[in-house]
Amino acid sequence: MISDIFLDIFYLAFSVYGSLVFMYYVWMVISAYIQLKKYRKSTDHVYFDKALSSPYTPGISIVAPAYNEELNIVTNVKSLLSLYYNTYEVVIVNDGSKDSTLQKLIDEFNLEKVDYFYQEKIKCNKVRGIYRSKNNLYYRLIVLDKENGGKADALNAGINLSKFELCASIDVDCVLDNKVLLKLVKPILDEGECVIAVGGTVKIANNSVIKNGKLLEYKIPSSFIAQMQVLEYMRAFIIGRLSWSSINGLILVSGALGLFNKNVLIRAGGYYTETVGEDIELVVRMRKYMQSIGKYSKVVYIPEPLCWTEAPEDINVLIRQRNRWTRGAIDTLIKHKDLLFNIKYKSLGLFAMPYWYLIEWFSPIIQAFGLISVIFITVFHTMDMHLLLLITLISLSFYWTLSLIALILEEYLNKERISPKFVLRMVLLVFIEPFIYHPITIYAAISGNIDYLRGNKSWGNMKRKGLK
Amino acid sequence: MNSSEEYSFNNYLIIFTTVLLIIFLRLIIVRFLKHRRIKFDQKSKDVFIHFLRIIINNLDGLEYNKNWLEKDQKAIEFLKKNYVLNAKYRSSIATELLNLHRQLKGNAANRLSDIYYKLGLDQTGINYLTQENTTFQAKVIRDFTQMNVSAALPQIKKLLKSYDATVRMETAIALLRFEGVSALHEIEEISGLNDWQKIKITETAKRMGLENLPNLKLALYSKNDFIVELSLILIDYFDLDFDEKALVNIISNLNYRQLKFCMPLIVKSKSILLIDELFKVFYLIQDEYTQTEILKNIKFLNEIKLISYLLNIYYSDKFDDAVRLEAIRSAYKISLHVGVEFTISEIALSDEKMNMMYKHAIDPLL
Repeated sequence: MISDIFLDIFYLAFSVYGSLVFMYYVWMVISAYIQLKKYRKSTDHVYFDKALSSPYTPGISIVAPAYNEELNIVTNVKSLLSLYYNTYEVVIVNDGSKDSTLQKLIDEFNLEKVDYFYQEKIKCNKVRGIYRSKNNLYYRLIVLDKENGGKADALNAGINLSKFELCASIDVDCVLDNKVLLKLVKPILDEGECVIAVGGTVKIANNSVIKNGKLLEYKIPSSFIAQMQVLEYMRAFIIGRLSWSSINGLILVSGALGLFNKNVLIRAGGYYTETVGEDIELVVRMRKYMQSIGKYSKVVYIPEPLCWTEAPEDINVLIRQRNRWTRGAIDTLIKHKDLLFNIKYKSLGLFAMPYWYLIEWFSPIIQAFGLISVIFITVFHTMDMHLLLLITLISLSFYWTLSLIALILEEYLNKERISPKFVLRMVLLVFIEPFIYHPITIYAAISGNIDYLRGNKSWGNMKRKGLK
Repeated sequence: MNSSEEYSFNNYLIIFTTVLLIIFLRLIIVRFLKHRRIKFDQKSKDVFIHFLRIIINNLDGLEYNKNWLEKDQKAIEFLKKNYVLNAKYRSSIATELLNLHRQLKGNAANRLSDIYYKLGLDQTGINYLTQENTTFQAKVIRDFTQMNVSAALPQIKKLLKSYDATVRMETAIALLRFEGVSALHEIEEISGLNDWQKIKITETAKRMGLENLPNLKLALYSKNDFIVELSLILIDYFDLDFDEKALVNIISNLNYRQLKFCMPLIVKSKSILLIDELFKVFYLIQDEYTQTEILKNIKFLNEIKLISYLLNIYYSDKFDDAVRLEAIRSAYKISLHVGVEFTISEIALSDEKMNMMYKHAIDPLL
């Protein structure tokens, strides 16, 4: 009797949740496709060079925190200094590195401590010194040395120091497209000040050929775990971000690369240092701030690959990373729960926030619960095995379909760059992923939930090989 | 499992397999189309290069005259009949020709332009202008502007009030190219351009060359903000004369963007009238970036009397710290240039914040 009730509840919950997820994803796929077509049309015959010398083009401050980056800091900074943009500065924040990051910068760029009038518009840890180069060649570079306070704190310090009205926060170990700033600034030139943040697609560059901080040749990662992440990123960016940007429902601009309206960022309070998901939290708070002053705001996503990063190849590092992402998202969703179903925020409150709760947060828990329930029902109840198989097949086909559509859209966007070999490899991975990779991410998300309840706010060891 | 359940189960399996099959087929079709498109493009490119080789081999010399293509009539007819009249090749050949034309100058560009006309690509383009598809319209106007197809100007002008902003922008660029800046009064009717579109138009206007520019003095009085901005940019870029009264008018309007664009002209003219007007409105500006931008430019004026103006800003706590810092920096730079010893009050030296600003201002690396 009790087991029958349990079974009924299980079927009902499965149907309701499954239908909601299905509807969300069908809408996401359709809107991502429409948005992609719009993007292709809007970038047809766009010559970014025209914006280089125009007085209409705003200045950009690049803020890049560095913590224990002695191995690659010089190459990465040189790469940042050679971006294709006219008015910009590069603010490197040495966040109390324990290695020789600062010394490497001082030696290579001939830096000298200066009497910089530093305004603490956003509160952050003590600044130990500010450095400028004696070599005019590096006139764009400014280095801030401060006591360790974490990534968010370092970004805040860099923003305090920055002088232009737009600021791009980037991970110093990322490889950027040479025209990244021109591409990021275009939505602001197109749509004006209502655009408070712009994000771009982040791609995985493990195994790719990189020289002097520039990506010379894209290659599929050799590590299986990294390959899986290529597929996962593709799905997340091309379907997820693109669809939410189509209804202005984006709440996440990747921490690896984002361009922000500095005034709004500062007035919203800067990066929140008490969370491990400072990127998502900031965008939500900036949108709330704009709403509070009665101004329309927009967060734009550019589907083009603008930033290449290194994906973890070690399972433990991957789990720690996903654990942290989960904790960051939960932190933000709880802190800003007033947005949920809040009609004031329109599509953001009515569609995007429920999605984040229902799919991004609850989905791994529901999936784990589903698996346990199936085991329970199978053991204690004579379950119709055909039905179980059917549910499994439907779920799998849905998952595969989504991944394949993401691949088709990716090919539609990057016709020239995607090789048949890449497509073939991805198709194979699509079928393997739910059995091997997906359980790992589910496990990481569950452990993230548990760690969140325990109050764990650490970043964990994210040791990687570094892009070479 | 009874028979109806089994039937239903099988149905689901069939649906499941069909969905996957459709997706697979879609992927394969996309791949196939991509492969076909690449093949078409490559073939078009090869054909066009082969055609160019024939034409180059037939050249009598480097001298250019309007009838140079007469003896290549056969090759032109062949290309036209077999490829240009075929829509699937035409677009690739036109793209190839336009790309090449963009990279060349002088006679080489003229010859490509002649080939464009001889192949009838201008005529096929004109047909697209009357279609509703704004993507095609914008592309054709862009191509016509590049290839100087002035015969299409009447049709292009009709699109000046298109609902599509990209078409409006391309029309404005075409008018500028065909009619010179005398087209400004027509462009004046255009509204709702975004900054990206303004950039494209201003950069096109810059490339027109000084000889095509009319007197822009009157344009500074335009009621269309963009025309004023464009004129300010062009006056600065080509180093033209301007009417000081018009600039006084612009400064007093307190349009921050126009103020920013005025600065290079004020610096060049060193006009006391303009500087006085600028400082009159300076206190009314509500945007720290505009204020900072003005102060950054002020230092190039090298006028002793400006030092006291700038020090007043530095001493005033009504301004944002970034603005005060820029004021003291400019004051210091001017003092160095005019050879006047630079001093600040005791109050400023004892105030920690002001003292830090001062130290920043005199640091040679900042």
